[in-house]
Amino acid sequence: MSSLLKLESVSAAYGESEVLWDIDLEAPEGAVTALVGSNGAGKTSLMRVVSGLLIPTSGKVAFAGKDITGLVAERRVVEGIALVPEGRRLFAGLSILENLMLGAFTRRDDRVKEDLERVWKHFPELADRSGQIAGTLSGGQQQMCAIGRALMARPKLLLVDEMSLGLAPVVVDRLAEALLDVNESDGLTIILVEQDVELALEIASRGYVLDTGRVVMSGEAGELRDNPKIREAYMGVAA
Amino acid sequence: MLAQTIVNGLLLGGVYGIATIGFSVVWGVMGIINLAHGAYIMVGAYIAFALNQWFGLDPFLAMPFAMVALFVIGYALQAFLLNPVMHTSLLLTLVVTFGIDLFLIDLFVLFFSSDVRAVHTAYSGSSLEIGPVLISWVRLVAAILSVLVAIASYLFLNRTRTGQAILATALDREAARLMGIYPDRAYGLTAGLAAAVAGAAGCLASTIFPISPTLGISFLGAVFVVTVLGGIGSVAGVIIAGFAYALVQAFAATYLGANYQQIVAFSMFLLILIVRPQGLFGKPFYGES
Repeated sequence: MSSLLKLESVSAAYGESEVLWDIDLEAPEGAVTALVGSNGAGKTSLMRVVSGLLIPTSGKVAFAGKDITGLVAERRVVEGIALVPEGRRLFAGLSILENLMLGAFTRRDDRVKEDLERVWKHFPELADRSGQIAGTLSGGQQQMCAIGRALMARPKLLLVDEMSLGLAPVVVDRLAEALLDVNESDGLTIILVEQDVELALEIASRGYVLDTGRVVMSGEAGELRDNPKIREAYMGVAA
Repeated sequence: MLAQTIVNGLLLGGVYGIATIGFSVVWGVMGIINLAHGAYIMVGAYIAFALNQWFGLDPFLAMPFAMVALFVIGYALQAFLLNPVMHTSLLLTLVVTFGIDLFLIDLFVLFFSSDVRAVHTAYSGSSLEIGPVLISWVRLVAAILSVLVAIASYLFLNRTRTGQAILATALDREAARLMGIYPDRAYGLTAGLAAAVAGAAGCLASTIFPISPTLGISFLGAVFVVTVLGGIGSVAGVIIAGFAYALVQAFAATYLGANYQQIVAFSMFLLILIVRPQGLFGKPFYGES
């Protein structure tokens, strides 16, 4: 399987303080890749690098065979990268429908309506209240709306940052199901960033473990899941 | 006299409303208190005056010209002067917009002198008489056009793709970037449209008030009051507040004398700030919800 996204020795910083060192990462086309690690490991910063919100200080980011290292976030959407940011970041004062349509902002094709129908199909509770102001939704509904908004861009690569944070397990299961469904039916490539390591490695086929801004381990999701070090450090299971 | 006072207030309310829309939206979307907003209104009034003097154009028909000219001015000033400083500090944006204000006033003193001018039309003095109430044709047309411009502004922000992009940028600049929206362009458009509506207000004002390069200064006071009354960033709130402000002024002028108009209006402003700092309609701007 070829890689849709490839990072080569990427380092990044916020001003003077470096947050990522020498990251090598690949996301195989059509697969779900998990990015796990504890709080402050640099997962969100890495997502900012991939989405273009943070431009690396060194290294190379390639997407679909094209060097996009210096490309700004606004352009990466058009290239096919969509991010579901940590904390959802919905446009709180606008309605569900308005949020979803903003997801399709750069699109000029005539399949927007079709994609909207698909979001409604995945999350019928959003369709029932499409005019409701996003800021008044429950956490789970907001996450559905945020995922829906990213899907409305019809991306080739979907980045999902901390989807499960603060949500009830039953809601998380539904969201995971929806992601797996778009992955399987459309072959959408997904990178899933999670503190819930067990969940992430269950959904994904490959995984990377990040610690203090470095990749410390990577491999098949199943192998990582069975790795005693990971079980001890991230899943609370004694080795 | 009561009916006449109410009519006087209502006829001016729309003009105060659209004089304020741009100021309020710029404040809400970008957090910029544009002290040059009054000068934009003044420039619009002079465009109406000049086109009337030179080509005999009706000041109401000057509106599209003033709007286009001010859109360009507003967009350019935002792109070149304000975008670079708007994320630094509020003080810096105040200083820059104050500088623009002084520059525009002096520029117009240079070209038009500080003499007070007036725009005259064939129908300037005529009125519609309904019972004891006199309705000036000029003010009636200005009021109707104000409401139309206000409705267009509201629909633009809330019903068009570009309007949605502006609101999205106001709500979450970074999330807007993830949608493919360039914030600096959204800010430029916001400033351009705000200036365009101010230009339209200037054309309408030129038919009602005497004009001079400092016309904007007195307008800026009213614009501040109406913004706070209507709620920052709310087009609908600002229009209603424009009418409220004009009615209070009309009542003060009729029953206390013209000298009291401003005192009463600003006292009302202070009272609102103390009692309802979120504005009369209590709806916080999208970005603050």
